[in-house]
Amino acid sequence: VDLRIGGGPATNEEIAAVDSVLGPPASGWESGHRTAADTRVAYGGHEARARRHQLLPALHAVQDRMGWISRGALEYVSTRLSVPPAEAYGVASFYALLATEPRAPLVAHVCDDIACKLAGADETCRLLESALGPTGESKDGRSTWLRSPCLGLCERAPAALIQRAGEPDIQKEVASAPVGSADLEAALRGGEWPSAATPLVPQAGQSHLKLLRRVGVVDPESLDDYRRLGGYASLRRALELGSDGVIREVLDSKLVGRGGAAFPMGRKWEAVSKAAVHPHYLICNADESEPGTFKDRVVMEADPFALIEAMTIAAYATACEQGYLYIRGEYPLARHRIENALEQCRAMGLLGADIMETGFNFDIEVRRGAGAYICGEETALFNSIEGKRGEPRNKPPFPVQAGLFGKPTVVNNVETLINVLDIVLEGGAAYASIGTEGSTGSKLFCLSGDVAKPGVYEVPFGTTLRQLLDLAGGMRGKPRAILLGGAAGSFITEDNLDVPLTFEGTRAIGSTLGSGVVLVFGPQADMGEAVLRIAQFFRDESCGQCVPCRVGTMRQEELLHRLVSGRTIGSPDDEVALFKDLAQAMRDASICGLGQTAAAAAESAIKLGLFKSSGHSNGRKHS
Amino acid sequence: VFGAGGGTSSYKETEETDLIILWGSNARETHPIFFHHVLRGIHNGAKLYAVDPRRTGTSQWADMWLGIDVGSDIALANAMAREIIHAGLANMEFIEHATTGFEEFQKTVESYTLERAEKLTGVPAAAIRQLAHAYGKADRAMICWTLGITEHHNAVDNVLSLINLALLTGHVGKYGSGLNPLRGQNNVQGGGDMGAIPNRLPGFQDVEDPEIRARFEQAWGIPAGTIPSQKGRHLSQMFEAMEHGEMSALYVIGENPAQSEADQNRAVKLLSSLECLVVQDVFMTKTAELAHVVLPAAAGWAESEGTVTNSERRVQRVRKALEPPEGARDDAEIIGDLARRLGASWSYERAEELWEECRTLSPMHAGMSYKRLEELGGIQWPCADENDPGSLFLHGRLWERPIGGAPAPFTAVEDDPPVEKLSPEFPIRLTTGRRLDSYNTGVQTGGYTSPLRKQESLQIAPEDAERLGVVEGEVVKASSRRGSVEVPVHVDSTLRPGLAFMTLHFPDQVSTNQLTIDAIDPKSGTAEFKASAIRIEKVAGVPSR
Repeated sequence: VDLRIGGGPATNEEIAAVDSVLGPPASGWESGHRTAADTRVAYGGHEARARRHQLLPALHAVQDRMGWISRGALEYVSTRLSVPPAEAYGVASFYALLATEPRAPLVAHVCDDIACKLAGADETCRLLESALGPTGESKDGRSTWLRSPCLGLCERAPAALIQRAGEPDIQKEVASAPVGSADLEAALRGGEWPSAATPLVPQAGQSHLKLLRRVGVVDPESLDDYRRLGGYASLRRALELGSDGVIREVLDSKLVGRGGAAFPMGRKWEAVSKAAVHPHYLICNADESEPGTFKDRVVMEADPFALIEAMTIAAYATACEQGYLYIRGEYPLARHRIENALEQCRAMGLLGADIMETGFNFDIEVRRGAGAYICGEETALFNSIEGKRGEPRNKPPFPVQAGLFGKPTVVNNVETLINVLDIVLEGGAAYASIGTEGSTGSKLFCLSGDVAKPGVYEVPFGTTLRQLLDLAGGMRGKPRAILLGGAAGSFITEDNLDVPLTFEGTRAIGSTLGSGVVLVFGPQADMGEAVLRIAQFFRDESCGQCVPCRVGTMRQEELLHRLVSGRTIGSPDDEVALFKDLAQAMRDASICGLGQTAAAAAESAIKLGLFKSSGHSNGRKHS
Repeated sequence: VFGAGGGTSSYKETEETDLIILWGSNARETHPIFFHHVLRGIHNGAKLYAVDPRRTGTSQWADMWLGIDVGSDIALANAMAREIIHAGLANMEFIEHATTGFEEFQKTVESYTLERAEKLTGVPAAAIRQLAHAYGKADRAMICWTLGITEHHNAVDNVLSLINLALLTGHVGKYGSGLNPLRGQNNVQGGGDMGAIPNRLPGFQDVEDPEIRARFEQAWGIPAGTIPSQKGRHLSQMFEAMEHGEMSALYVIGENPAQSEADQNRAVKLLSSLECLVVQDVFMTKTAELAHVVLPAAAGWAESEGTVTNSERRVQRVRKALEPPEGARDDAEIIGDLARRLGASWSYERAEELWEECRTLSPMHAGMSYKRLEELGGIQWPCADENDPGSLFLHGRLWERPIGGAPAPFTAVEDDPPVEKLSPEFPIRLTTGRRLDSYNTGVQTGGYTSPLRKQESLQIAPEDAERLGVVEGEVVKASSRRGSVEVPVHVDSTLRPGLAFMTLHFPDQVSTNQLTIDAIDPKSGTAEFKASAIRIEKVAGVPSR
């Protein structure tokens, strides 16, 4: 059946945008301008469908050029890649940064997530609305503004991402913080843009730092400078150790993943290294989207070569020849720095064929997310790279057996990977001597909200929360609560300030390190608002694939609205009991971590009584 | 060639083969259930090749599509065979062990060089070579075909040319390799198996074999010599007989020849001239409207008991779920009553009795009790006895050592293009086919709505539309040497210039068979629906829509 999207053919500009990614059409069947030879033979099938992974890059190209993806453009992309139009539409409509309805070419995505809310984002949005009209609308057709989930600039909140679509020389993208409504209004009216936010690392230059030792010191755009500061000594050492040797050091180091699941890295690497099926793939998960988290961005912006070197070592150890760096769409500066670094590494033979003349081949492709929290889940990330909707897969099979394109795959996030540099250089045993028995090495924390000096901090595992907050100059006023671990983490109070920051320590108080978020809610914070924003976040970001999460996140948000507003069905206790049921169902039955943790923060807030239902119930008894 | 009329492979093998050639088959639209199995095969890694004048939906799934000229299939197959032989890809061991006639075949195909085939088929030599090598080298490979092969004046020769390819490479008689004609309905296979063809008795047994006739006569308790010793007429011959006054009565069951026959004007005229026309059908068809007697039948599906047999030779039970509407009766009941009125002493009470009788007379069905059919979810023939699980694929005997039964013969066949040549007066090749949501003359499907269904149209290439100065939806006049119709144009880029396509689905709107030619294959009786020559003209004064 030749289903077509309709809505006219693609414009020349749209075609040019797609062709800039896919190259010129191979035959008239792809372009619609066929030759006599085309009417006698056509190629497609497996080869054509194998290019499906180009779908998201092609859609990005159209979005960047046109500001939205028309039906004609979608049909052209579908034809070029032999993807059914309905599936291409399913992918395009999955991502928040891609528009499938007309959208003005100049857009400000204004963060109104928890950290920015504390810094007055709601006021910014209110001012923008009165100046420019409601979100998503455009008076002149040239510019518009949208509310956005966390942009990962929490240390300088409030933040916004401004994008301008158009010809390649007109395209522009800046993530800026702090920004006010006046800055944004000026930019949207065609005036000057606010400048890009640069990373805030209060510890920069301190000699005891490991993960952050070059941050703020090294020129992030210079490979020479990176090497001057000891860069690529680790890869050299790794090549001497051999892949088994590298894996042995990583096992000895007891390094575990920093993505939240805390899985032992060495075991993961070992499994892929030994997998008989080839090729193997390496993925660096830089889709850092957990609200309140910005450490991976800081590393990529300030020390991009370190990540590339670490990925190269990981690939060497696990026999991967192809790596993907999946970076969230909201990080233009990080992407720019990484791409620049990749080019320099290729030019110097540190990527590509025969790296350092050892016969080892490896290269990295940057893949850009398009606004979907769920794509940080590793199997959703595979689907996203493969050109499908970013919906998580069931496990097993596990990624080390059948991951990207069904092949054995190592997935590590940015922070986990850069630990490898020291492990290889100094030995696993030396690394394991830092931190505690159960949590070795040091950890990056993202401090934001009501602290004196927000930013990324590196401390050895076992440092207490109080010590960490002292490092950041202390809290501003008596806190109402501290969010630990992000939206998927939990709230704690001042009573827990002496918790040692380790996997086991936070577990003991019923909390989690999560992605290293420490977000302080000061005396003025509205905790009800914060909890509702988190609930809204999960409702927005649920991919909708499994019922417990799709329906659960919706019901949770409705219930919290009733609790916060005091218009409960039955007594507040009834609502709390219902909430617990719902949370349990989501935890037990959701396919992936999103649904499993979606109720965690709200549950802790209820337990701690962080917001009290004011008012009274409407009298209806919940049945 | 092999002594049996059915697809050799199972659906499951389609899912586990390495290479599938869909030749003259738009299975994605016309055999969507079978195509699901093809898709599974593709997802498991099988390569798909499509040979079709149109770049159909099926072709769009293919690794390679070869857009041949209508009716040049033998030239393509012969050239592939020559290339396979010259490239040393022929399976000489199999050929020596299990076939006859290779030398003559080799001699015949020798003249079909790639260059000559390019001229005859329009397909580039390199593409033919590529397909030949892929088929020759594959570990498992199957060829599936439909009406693109059989609706030609040389239908049987077309089929033989494909069989030759399988014999040449040994792609038959083993798991994952085979030759499969796809059946258009759930029980086309079963109808033939049960003897509803002119030359066979139930069990696909030759009516011209005296021993077989004697067995049936004995079982039925009728005098020796009652069953005609010669095969009957096939449909096209029946019409010829009507034309020559040799046939004056016709009993039509579940067919609509007034609209489905090529050269429709002639068909209607002949049907109308019969002394007695009896039509037994679920619907009041155009043919029924011409009949002297109409016998309303119960639907074979849901309103009657029995069995059907699908394209993989699987006999399956069908069960009655509903009482037929008042006055409509089961086909078997009607035929039984008619037989009794004609003096026979038939006493079948239930469908199962008929089936039990069939089991005693048809060796390939002998092991299939209703109980076993239910337990096993259908059984694939042949099934010799109640311990036989049925047959996954046919002709494994060819691989036995020593060979089981007679070797399979190569049959050398020559290119023989369509009867109706293109001419300056009729320069466009019209071919016909089906669409996903409609079936043949629309008797069974016209009563249901479909979001995909549009009215009938004459599909032409964009280049032709431009040349003729016609636009989408514009009504044009399409004429062949036999008649002309007015039909809206649909511009379709799956067609090449000079090729047009129509269906038979909307005979009341556009009777496509006014255009088609009734050139018949004498061996099979099928008409050359796939190739006629037409002219397309703008209709003056008809505004475009």
